[in-house]
Amino acid sequence: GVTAQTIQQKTSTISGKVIDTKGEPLIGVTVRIKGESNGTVTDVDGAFSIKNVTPSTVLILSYVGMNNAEVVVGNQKTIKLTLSDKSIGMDEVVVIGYGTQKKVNLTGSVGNVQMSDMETRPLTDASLALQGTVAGVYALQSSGKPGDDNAIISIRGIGTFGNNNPLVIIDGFPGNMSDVNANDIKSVSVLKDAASSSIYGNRAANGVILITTKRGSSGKMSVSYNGYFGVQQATRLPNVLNSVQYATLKNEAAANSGRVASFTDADIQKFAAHNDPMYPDINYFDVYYGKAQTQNHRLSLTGGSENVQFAFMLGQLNQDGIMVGTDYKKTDFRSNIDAFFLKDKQLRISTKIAGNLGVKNEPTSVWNATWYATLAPIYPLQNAAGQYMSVNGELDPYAEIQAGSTRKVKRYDLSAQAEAEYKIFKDLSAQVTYGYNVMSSNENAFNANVVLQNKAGGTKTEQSDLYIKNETDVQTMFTGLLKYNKTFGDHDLNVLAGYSEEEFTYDWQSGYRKNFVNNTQRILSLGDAASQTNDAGSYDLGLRSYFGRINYGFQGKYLLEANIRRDASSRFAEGHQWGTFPSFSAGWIASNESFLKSANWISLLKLRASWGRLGNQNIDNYYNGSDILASGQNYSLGGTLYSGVAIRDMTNKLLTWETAQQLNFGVDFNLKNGFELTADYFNKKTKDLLKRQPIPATMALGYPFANAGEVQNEGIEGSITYRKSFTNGLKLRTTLNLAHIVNKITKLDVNEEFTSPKAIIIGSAINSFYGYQMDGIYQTSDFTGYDQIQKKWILKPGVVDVTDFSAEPGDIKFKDLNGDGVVDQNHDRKVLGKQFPDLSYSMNINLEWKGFDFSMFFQGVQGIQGYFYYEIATPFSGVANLGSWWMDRWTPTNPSNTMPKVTLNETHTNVHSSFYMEDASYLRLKNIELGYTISPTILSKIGISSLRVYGNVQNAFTLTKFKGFDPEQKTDQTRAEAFPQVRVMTVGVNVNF
Amino acid sequence: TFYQNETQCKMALMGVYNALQPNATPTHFYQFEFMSDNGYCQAAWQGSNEIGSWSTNSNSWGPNAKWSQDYAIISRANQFIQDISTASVSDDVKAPMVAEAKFLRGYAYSDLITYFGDVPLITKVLPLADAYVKRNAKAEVLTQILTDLTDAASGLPTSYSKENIGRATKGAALAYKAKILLYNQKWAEAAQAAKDVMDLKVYDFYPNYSDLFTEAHENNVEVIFDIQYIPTTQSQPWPAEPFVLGTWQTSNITADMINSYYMTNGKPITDATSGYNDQNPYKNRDPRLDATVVLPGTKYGTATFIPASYDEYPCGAKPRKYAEYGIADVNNSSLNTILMRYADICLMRAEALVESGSTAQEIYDLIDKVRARVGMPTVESVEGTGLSQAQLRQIIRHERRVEFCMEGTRYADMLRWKDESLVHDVYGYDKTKLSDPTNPAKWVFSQIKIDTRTFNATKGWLWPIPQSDILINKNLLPNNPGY
Repeated sequence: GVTAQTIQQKTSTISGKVIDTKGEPLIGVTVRIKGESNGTVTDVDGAFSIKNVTPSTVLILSYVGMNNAEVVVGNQKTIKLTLSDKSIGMDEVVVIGYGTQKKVNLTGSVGNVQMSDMETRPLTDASLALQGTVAGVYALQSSGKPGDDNAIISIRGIGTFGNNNPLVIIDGFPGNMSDVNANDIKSVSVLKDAASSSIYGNRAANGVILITTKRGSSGKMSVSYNGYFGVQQATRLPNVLNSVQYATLKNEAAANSGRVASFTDADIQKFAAHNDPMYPDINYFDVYYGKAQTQNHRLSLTGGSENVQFAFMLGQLNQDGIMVGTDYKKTDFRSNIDAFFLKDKQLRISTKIAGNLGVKNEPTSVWNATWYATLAPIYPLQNAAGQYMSVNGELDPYAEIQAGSTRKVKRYDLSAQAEAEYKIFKDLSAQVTYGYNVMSSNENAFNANVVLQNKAGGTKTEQSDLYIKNETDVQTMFTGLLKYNKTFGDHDLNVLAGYSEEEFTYDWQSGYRKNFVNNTQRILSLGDAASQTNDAGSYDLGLRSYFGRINYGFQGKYLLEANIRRDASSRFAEGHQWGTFPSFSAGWIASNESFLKSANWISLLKLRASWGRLGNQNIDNYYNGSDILASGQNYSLGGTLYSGVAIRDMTNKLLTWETAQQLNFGVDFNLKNGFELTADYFNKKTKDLLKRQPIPATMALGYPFANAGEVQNEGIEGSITYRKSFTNGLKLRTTLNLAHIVNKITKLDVNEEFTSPKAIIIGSAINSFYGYQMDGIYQTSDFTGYDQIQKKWILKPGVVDVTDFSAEPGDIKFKDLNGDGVVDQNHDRKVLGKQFPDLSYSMNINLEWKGFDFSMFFQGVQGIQGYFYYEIATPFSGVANLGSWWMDRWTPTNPSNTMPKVTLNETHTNVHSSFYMEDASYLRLKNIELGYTISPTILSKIGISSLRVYGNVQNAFTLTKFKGFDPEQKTDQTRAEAFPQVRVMTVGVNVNF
Repeated sequence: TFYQNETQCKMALMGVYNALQPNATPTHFYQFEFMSDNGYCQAAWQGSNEIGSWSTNSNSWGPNAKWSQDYAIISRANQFIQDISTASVSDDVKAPMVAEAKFLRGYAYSDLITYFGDVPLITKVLPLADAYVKRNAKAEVLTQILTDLTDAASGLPTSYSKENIGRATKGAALAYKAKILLYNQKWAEAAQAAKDVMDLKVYDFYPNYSDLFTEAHENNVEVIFDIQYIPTTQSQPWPAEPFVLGTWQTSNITADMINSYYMTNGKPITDATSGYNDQNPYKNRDPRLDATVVLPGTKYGTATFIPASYDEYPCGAKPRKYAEYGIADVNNSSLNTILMRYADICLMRAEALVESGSTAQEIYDLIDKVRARVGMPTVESVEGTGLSQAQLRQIIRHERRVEFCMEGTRYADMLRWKDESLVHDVYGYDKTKLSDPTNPAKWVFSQIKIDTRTFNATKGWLWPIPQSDILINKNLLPNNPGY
């Protein structure tokens, strides 16, 4: 039809110029005719010309970082067009709970992720897009393990002892960020304050993340491909001892603890000679961790007609892990279709289908693999004949993995939704959504039959076995909404009323057999039938909710909003099921007042305030309605197994909702010179905390949940963005995000937990590090001498003593906090540090110049502690090596006051104290990227509308004093069993057709 | 609700027995050997080393695990006794099951007072508000133990048919009564309780000492109470399971233990006339040595034990008793753990008689029976007749050591005897002199110090109440002296 029209109408040529809001010419703007592939780009003066246009031709202008513009040619021969910067636009719309709102009209605190910055980063999990991108959101990458490298996200601090994960809503349906591909995401809104999130009352206490995926629009179909290849390696691993150093120090430790030496001089000479495989010098980190490849391909199609619009996305990720035996393959797709019916598109029907298949391989015992990666260098891996050796006659995870001891997990996720919206009147519409998400996973954990050579001769045989587990997790949701929007005079009114019902069912079955016919056919039926066992379980949860919102604006200056939600959860016993969660917020757009209209350097000044209450019922699968007899408490008699039951956990039938109240004050301040500032103060108080209550061990029951007390998270967060286009064509955009949050337990109705190394104490942050304060090292001069009869060192009067062991020269000295001369657990331990940073910050710098683009993303935390204990950190713990810093140990001739002596006496070394705590602050160049966009004039001839090539380094470098593994480690981690973080170097290409 | 019929009652009872199985490394029976002068485990994480060297503190794993496990048995027994009382089953069904629960409760409390002294006495299901209990005097707990075990003895059968073997019997209740009475110096009552077991005429010595501890000879006539295991579905929990020759490398027998076995002529190796040759040290020794210990040069399967080849056997000797030979799957050992056997009844009665002042012929006879089974000469023929109380006491204490080595009784014996001389440095063989695999004849046996152990008089003979529980329940304070 297009061609026919062109013939009928008189064609002509149009020329024009494109400028920005400051009147500067824009170079490289793509100008094309709507509905055709014809196009051009602007030259150095911002000028262009296009042939074969008619008065009805529509030109589309697009430029990175600017809003697209469409213009009808009409009878003009020359045309001057202005493009505005994308986010300065007052019409920017953000996604909020059950709807959208103009950003300018927000009264709560909502953060957005600039998803266009993410498109070419090698994000293997969508949650990683939240790292450092929204002030007040702390996203911590849990590990570098393929398929499990999602970020643990906390919004405005840790408010509860249980599950702190925010509620993630993907296109209106609660889900998991790992099930969305970062490239499919159009927008991410983080609802941080109570007013914004209270419409999701029942599970919103930890904040809400709203994800909207890309949708189609009418017009030419657009096809894009993004692909990258990359190499990963561990960001950092601790420096450890070599064999000679290890053997020497171990002998010294044996002598220090009155034990027989482990190695003879001849042994140590053999280690030094490096020619006997039984006396090796192996850095086991190098055995277990290496370089690994990754590649990602992504195709997306969007388009549609006037009445039907679609978006289709398909992707494939292949990621090898840096640990031996790990890899991950994921294929995912997403299809969003919107269809409009009746007059004036009165009825909209939308369907969304998304699915992914992830196949993950990992060692059957990842824990063993991470543990044995710390193995001392003296243990032979293989003998001269190349056969694998047992370690001390026990296992050898490396040999096991090589023989096929891996866990394969196939996870299928399918999510489907149908939604209908009908405009009853002009201002009133009704919407019904039904969605269904089914996750099914299939685990196959195999231990291969392995024959290991014992160092002492003989072999150690490990029998094969297989454990399989099938899980089905089904979630259904029904939501009904009524929406009313009306503007009359100076008044804007939005009203929302809704009902929602959610149901969760989870079932699993498992089976087990031993002694398989070979190591390759991992099929349950090929195991020994006599050894089979099976098990199963099932859980249900139902939630029912009513909610409503009123939004009122007056003269575009005064904004008010009120929400209320009433929820019931089946997790609580009858009578304790319902919770009510209200919120109120107000905003004042001062810049729209007449007295500020004259201040023409201000583009926006808005003040916001909000208060609200949210709920949390997330206590895993714990059900407190009645006592539960646990099965599986079996016992055998005379060769027969009898089923047994017992009550194992205490229940609390009075348990009810945890509630979080949050007060928020914020300001948005945009200047016309390119600065944008947002700052918020918040105070979030979580009451009736759901926490397991420690009960006396004499009850011998698992701890019940209790509504245990209060936690406060108070903080400020801010973000500054600056944009500037220079006359030479250089464009700069930089954003700095900062957050300072103080986490504090303010009240406990249950016992405080004075446990080392982590304690729960009123007035301190949740799970603060707790233990003795190191106060130097006992020196020989602190003692009068060694008593041969008592076999102990005698302290000089006035030197602090310790109750749990008799101090010796070279031991760590602890601070006597109560000054009674003796250090003991009840009086001399204190809070040493915390696992949450004082300050988290990030900075993004984006530069564009003549087709080149360059970005750097820094992220850091300050004022955070890490605990590094046992393997590597503590002398001769199990079979682990030691950190190389132990070469600096205390000896009589090196009377260090910071490093203790080495000893095998674990009662002296395995004491939780500040010695094992370290500053875990870090500054990390999280991402650095350089790209080049090839001129569209060249490409348009071969049908490509844009092509960009880029190179990217993720986790490029890190500044930290932390001695252990990566400082970005899981909270609560105190030992070495971490899967290291990875540095990823990628090159990729981005093509649009 | 549950407890509708006999099957459901039995399921709940099995839940109580389930708690009897050790569920933490330091509570396994053999770890108690490593805490004593019999054995040694240098792997500190397993928990026995610090206890053996008297450097335990209130955060130590061992006391914590023991405390938790015993109270789990007690809590489940209390729950069971409460719930079965309203069950709709006949009293004939209820009574023996209640007796079993009381036996298990008595067993657990016996354990608790032995290691911790005064402990909270809880005999019913408590609401949380009442759960912040104080410690009761050891004597008060002992009274309850004796009530429970006496009730159990009167309500329990003397034996079971095959598919129920392993449940508590009358004999088991009486035997544990004898034991806790002996441990608490109630000599006359202890002697009587042991006699009551003998008078049941159900138990006897199993003729072959080393077979006694093997799978093929389980549930033999000497076994009074044990923890029953079966393959695959209820096998021994780790790390008992790899207690298999050659694989589990952290279990050591001390030189002191090996030296304590007499010559076959009944004389200690220190006796100049014993015929002991320290360079051929295992010749003509009490057969229980070979049945209990894998010695340097011992052959098992196709292998010879060469101490120098192993890094983790600093003492150069390791346990043989309870090690399963040639088991195909080391993680699937189903060997029952014997907790009480008839030989113990004989030696407990002998000890109770001696301590009550008797030097009667019966004492000689009881010891002689234990020796006779392994072919060792009688007391009369070696040590003589007309021995004093002190002499007989030493003979019995020695006999207990060599008879029950690796059965988890020695450490408790040390605690009740309060004999500080038994806490001393650990000695073993100098492994470097036991290295040449081709020519064991060239081996030089010399004993060297392996590790230091010192009795801590401040701490004395009791374990600490776990700090973790004190933090939750301040009423448990004060802790035992020294902690």
